[in-house]
Amino acid sequence: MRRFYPLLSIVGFLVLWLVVAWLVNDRLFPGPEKVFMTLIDEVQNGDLFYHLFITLWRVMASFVIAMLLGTVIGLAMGRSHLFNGIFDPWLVFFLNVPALVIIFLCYIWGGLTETAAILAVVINKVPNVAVMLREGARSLSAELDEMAASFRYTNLQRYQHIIFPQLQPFLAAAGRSGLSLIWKIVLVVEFIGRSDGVGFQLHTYFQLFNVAAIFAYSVAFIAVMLVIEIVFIQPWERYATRWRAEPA
Amino acid sequence: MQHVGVQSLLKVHIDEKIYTSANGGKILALEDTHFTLTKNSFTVLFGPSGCGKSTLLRILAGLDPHYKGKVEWETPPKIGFVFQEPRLLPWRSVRDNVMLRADPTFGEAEFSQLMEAMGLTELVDNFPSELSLGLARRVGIARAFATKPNLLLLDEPFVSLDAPTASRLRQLVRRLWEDNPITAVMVTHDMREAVELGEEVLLITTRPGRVRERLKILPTDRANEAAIEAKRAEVKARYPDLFEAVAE
Repeated sequence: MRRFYPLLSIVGFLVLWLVVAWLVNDRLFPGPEKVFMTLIDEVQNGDLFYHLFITLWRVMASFVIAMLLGTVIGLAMGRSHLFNGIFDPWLVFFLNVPALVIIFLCYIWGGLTETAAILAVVINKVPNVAVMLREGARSLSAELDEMAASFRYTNLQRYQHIIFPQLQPFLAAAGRSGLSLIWKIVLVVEFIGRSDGVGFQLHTYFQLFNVAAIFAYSVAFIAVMLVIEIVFIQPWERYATRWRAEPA
Repeated sequence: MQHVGVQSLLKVHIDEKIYTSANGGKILALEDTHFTLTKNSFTVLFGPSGCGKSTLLRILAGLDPHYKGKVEWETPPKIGFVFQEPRLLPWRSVRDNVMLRADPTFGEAEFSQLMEAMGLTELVDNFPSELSLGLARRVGIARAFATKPNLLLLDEPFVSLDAPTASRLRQLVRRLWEDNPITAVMVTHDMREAVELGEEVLLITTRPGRVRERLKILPTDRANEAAIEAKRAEVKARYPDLFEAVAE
C-alpha cells in the first residue's frame, strides 16, 4: 500500500487543481485539462521537443563543466591549506554575487552567444559544488590515507578506490542540488538572451499572458528532470552505496 | 634509507623522535632506539602505553619520516601492514580488499588457499560492513600476506577481541608466518601474546622509548598454556615497571 502513496498524492493534487480552477474560472488560472491540451498542441507542432532538447543540452553541458571544475577546486581547497587560504575569499565572493549580475555581465562581455550563456550558468554553479566538495575533502579518512601509503597505492588507485568513494555522498548532493539549480538558471539565461529553449518559450508566452502554455512547458521540463532522476541518478546512487549495511 | 649487510633485513637507528602536542609542547617519544631485524625473524615490541611502539612501527613502514636517525634496508622495503582497526575499504568486497595491492604473482589459487586458511572462503563477495570485527581483522591479515611483503608489521592486531577469537587469530598468524617465513614485527602490550608469537621480544621503556632488553623466546616457552604463563610471570618479575602501565 505504501508504494502507492506518491501516486495517490499526485492524483490528489490534480483533483485539487481541477477544483480550484473550476471555482476561479479565469483564463489566467487554467485547469490541468487545459494545460494538457496545450501540451499536446505543442508536441504536435514540434515546438515542445525542439525547445526541450535545446534546454536539456544547455543544462547537461553546464552541469558537466560545473561539476568537473567545482570538484577539482573543492578537492584542492579541502586538501591544501595554502590553496584554501588563497581562494576562500574568491569562493565567498562568487557565492554571493547575484546570478542575474553574472548573467548580465557574461552577455555584455561575451555577446548574446551560446558560450556566454553556458559560461554564466557554470560561474553560478561552480562555487556551490566547490563548497560541498571542500567539505567532502576535509572529511576524508586519515586512516585510509595511511593504509594506502603503507601499501604503496598508486595515485590513480588512491583516487579510484579511496578518495572518490568517500566523496560519493558529497558528489551526489552537489549533483542533485546542482541539476535543479542549473536548469532554473538556464531558463533565466534563455529568457534574457537566447532565441530558443524553454526559457525563450516562457518569455514569449509570458508576453502573450498564455498561462496554460507556461504551465505546459514547466510541467514538460519537470517531467524530463524526473525521468533523469529515476533512470540515471537513483540507480547510480543505489549502485554506489550498495556496500552500506541496510538500516535495521 | 641505505643498504646493509647479509644476515639482517634492516637496521634501525633512531636518535630522536619528537612530537609536537596539540598545545604546541614538544614530546620526546623515542630516544637512542637501536636494533637490527634479522631476515625471517618474528620480533615483538612490548612496552607500556605511550612508549612509542606504534610510532616505531610507523617509522618502519615509512609513514613517518620526521625523526633523527636512519633506517637501513638490505633490500628495497615491501611492507604488509596489519592495523589495529582493520582499515578495510568499506565499498569493496573482501576479495577486492585482499587483491587490490596483492603481489602480481599472487594468483587465484593462492588467493583461494589463503581464504581457506583464514576461514573466509564463504565471505569473499561480502562487504566489510557485513563482517564481525574478528572476521574483518582476518581480512586485514590476509591483505598484508597477499602483498608478499618482506616486512610484515602488526600493530596490536588482536586487541579488543574476545579471548577465544584472539587466540584463534594468533594461531592463524603463527601458522601463516611458519608457512610463509617473512620478517615480522608486532606491537603489543600483552606479554602472553608476545611469548606465543615472538622469537624475540624487545622491551621498550616508558617515554622516551628505548630498547631496554632483548629477550629470546624459545619454542619450549610457548609449548603449552602453562609454559606461556610461566614465561610471562618470569618477565614480569624481572621488569615490573614495564607492566605497571599495562592492562594485561
